[in-house]
Amino acid sequence: MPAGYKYMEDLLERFFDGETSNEEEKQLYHYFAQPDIPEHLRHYKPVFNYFEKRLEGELKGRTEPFRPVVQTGRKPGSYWITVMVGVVASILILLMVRPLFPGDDDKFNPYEGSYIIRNGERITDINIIKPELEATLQKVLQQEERMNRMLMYLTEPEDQFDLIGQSIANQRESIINAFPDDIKKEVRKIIGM
Amino acid sequence: MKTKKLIMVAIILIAGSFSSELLAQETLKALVQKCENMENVDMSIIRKKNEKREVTRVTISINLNNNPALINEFIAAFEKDREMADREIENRKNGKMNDIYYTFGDVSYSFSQAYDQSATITVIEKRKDD
Repeated sequence: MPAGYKYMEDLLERFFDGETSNEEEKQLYHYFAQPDIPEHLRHYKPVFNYFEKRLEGELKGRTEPFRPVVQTGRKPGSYWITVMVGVVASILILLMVRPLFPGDDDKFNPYEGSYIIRNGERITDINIIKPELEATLQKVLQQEERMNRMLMYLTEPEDQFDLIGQSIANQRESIINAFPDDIKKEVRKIIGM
Repeated sequence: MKTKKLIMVAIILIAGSFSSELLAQETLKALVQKCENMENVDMSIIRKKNEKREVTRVTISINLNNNPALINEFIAAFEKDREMADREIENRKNGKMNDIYYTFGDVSYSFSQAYDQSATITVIEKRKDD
């Protein structure tokens, strides 16, 4: 059995045209069940794995005896196989492409869960209330700043007196240190240090 | 026995510190909740989230217009919870309460009354850094 990937590509093309025999389809299932498949064919692997599993399931679940079907031109199941392949391929493509185009659900909204109450009515639609929320936040920020300024104003004098006292002490020390040692002692005695 | 007693004391102290923080703003918290069900009160509840979708800050703003009874109720609630506040600022003009600002740990409550008798109450709860 020729198992080169060129042969498989040809089989694949015929498979999607619905022209493959049962034997050839089995070859495809076996081929795609292998672990090492060329990179450009790898995305077909889940499709064929799905069909192989489905086929196995159907065979296991079949209760009536197998009746051979005489093929006349186009295979009877090939239309549905093509439809199923199309559906599965579309789902796979959607799954692959979706991260590139984030939808509304994926958009992060920092105000998620916020709401406003107007005249007893609760409004939760962020798109409607967002401007109002931002305006309220702005007002709250201003009020917070006003309160902080007030707090600073009320606590500032104590801190300022401490700072002034410390500054005077430092200046006094530097003046005393500028004198000779004997005078320094006298000065310290006089000011009681 | 001694270790058990020490552990018990530690648990009681920890539980006490938590409960005192909860009780600290009990009256104000209850009044804010009551406002949510009142028809003549405008409120905004803003839950600010970070990029990890964690709530970092909850801000509640209540606007009271032509509602002197509720304004007085709020002033009384502030008075009641004052003892438990970490920081408090009150600003009165001619005997009328203009501004109140209390903090209870990471929660702050402020009240501001305008000349037209309207008032705004703001609650800010900081939960996480932005």
